Amino acid sequence: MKNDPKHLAKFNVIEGGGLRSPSWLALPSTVIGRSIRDRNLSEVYRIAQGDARKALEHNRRQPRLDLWSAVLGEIPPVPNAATKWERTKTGGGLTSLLDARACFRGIKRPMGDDDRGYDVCAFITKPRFYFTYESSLTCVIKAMDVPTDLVHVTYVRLDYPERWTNTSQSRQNERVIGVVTHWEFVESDPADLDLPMDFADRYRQRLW
Amino acid sequence: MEKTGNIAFLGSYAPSAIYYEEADSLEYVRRDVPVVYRRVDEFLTLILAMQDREPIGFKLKGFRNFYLRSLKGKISKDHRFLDLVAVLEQLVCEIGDQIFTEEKRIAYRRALDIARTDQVEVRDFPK
Repeated sequence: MKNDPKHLAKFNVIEGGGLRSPSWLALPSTVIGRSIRDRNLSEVYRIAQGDARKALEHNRRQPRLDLWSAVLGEIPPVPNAATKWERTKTGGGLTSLLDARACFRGIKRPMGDDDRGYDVCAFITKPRFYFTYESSLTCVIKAMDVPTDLVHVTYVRLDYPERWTNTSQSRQNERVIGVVTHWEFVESDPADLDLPMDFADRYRQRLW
Repeated sequence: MEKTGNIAFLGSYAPSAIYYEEADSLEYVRRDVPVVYRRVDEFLTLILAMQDREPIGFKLKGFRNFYLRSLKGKISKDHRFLDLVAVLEQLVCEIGDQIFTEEKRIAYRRALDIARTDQVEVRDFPK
């Protein structure tokens, strides 16, 4: 069967198919974050790949860099970046979804099939550093301080919203409960610089 | 290849209106720079450059529903695109009286100015 041309004809050689993706392009499929039920528990969330890929297809680098530094809490894996920042206060000061300080549920706008956005949670972090692209011979990203009047919001769409509301025992045993759809920096509320502007109005409910 | 990202070899960013399906938003931004998202209301968010907070784009949220309800029928078979100004005008027309504060009016005007100045066409639509 091995040398049977009839079988060989079913396979095609794909140019470049054997190359591994550069690591900064190869997003992890999941990220560990805080549970929506209890901030002392951790939970695993999938990372939606489609939108991140689409941004790159349009040559937008910044959303991907923000994902690495403010959602995953890692130095973007581009050449020389780890060497440059791993043992500095920047490398040690990145925040991930595990560092969320608050969690809100319901974004009060339609999102896909969810007319109310009730099944979407917003995790709030307060990053100190982020990375941006800069043409350079040594390292093509540079670390920047996040202005103090900003917070970072990571949005997670829940997989089984109703069952979570009822805290079903069977679902509590499942570790992956939602998908990170998008993430962004927003301005802080003047009354509490750790929370987004108008947090009391922009979300339906504060979970913790 | 494992540790050698080719971030530097991406092409230059060319501004265009992009529909992000998972976030369900249509986004237009002039430059690929660090940005801040300023919520205006449930439909519109302005995108500001982080450095100087100058508006450089905007996103229309919950775009799929709006597109299916109000825009899809307006795309001609010959020209598979819509003028972003027309999209914004349609949105403003629909929400009408809800844009009652001066702050909101200014924000919508900013978005319209950006779309008009850059002559943005929407070619990326929800499936």
